[in-house]
Amino acid sequence: MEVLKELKYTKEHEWIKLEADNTAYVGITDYAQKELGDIVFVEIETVGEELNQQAVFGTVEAVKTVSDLYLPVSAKILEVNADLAKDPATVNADPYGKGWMVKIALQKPEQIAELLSAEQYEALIK
Amino acid sequence: MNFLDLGVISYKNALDVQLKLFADAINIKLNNQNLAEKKLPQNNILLCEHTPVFTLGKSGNMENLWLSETLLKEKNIDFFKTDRGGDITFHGLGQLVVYPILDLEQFDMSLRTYIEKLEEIIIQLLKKYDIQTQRQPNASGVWVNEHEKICALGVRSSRHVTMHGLALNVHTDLSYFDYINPCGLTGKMATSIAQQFKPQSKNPPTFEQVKIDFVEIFKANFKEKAPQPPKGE
Repeated sequence: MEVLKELKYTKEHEWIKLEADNTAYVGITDYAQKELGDIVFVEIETVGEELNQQAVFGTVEAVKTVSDLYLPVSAKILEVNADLAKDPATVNADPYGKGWMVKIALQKPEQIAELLSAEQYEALIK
Repeated sequence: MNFLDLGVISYKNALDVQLKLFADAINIKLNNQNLAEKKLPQNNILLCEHTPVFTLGKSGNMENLWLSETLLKEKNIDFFKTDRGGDITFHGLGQLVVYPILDLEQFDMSLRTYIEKLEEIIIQLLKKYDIQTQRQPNASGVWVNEHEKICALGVRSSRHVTMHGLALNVHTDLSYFDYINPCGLTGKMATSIAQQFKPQSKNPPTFEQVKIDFVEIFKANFKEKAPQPPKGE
């Protein structure tokens, strides 16, 4: 199970990658995509919305399940990965790269400190 | 765990019950973030039989329903779009429908393990009636062979709380499935316990018997974790 050192994680199996200008990319972890199995649909209709930490920002549908996606930190949703509408299986193939889900603008950057480090996340999924 | 038998009920009315219990459980969990002493939501398992209805999953395709609105009315079949996974399916009399509203954290279970457990329970249950079944890697539910599905399955989860569930054909009138492309999978068919039951010397199990057996196997497979003892100061 791949866990990237430079990312922060949540116990809901999301990752967040910080960019320089207080923006960040969010997606689901390698562990999460394996748990869900083949992803057939990613629905995110919250672009432009300002949401609190832990708010639901979308849903992901696999063959047998529909589950919610949670925002790791309070943020405005800037952009959705449009490629996922055409090819949701990208999340399975490349969860930390081309399978990113939203780009966000952080509203409370201090919340980053509450998130899990790669080591902590690895311990959680062991 | 609390088993609630809703008897024969429309899809809509059962959905209202599900949504209420689902929202209550999620609210208890969300409130816990501000509480020192965490409350555990009640785990409920709804059992029922629906009046005839076709339901379409979140990303399902309307083209998989082969009946016009007029014909649906004429035949007295309801139609519903829902937020479970999966495509189109049929629910009707003679089909055991189970909606577990469970807080998976209380069972130390991931969503994937939960789905596998549900499938395992149905496989075990059907083995009791000498019906051999299997999973399919890329399709949900439990199948007697690669073409015939006996139990449909689709789950929604939020904050580790589940809703929707499974539908097992006991003695369902399977002709209703002729009006749809079940699960959106061409060349697949529905079957039932009544159709698969082979022993000539015995009668197939009754609906009530299947329900009793299901609850027993379900209980054996789902054990709530003992509540954590409060941490001493």
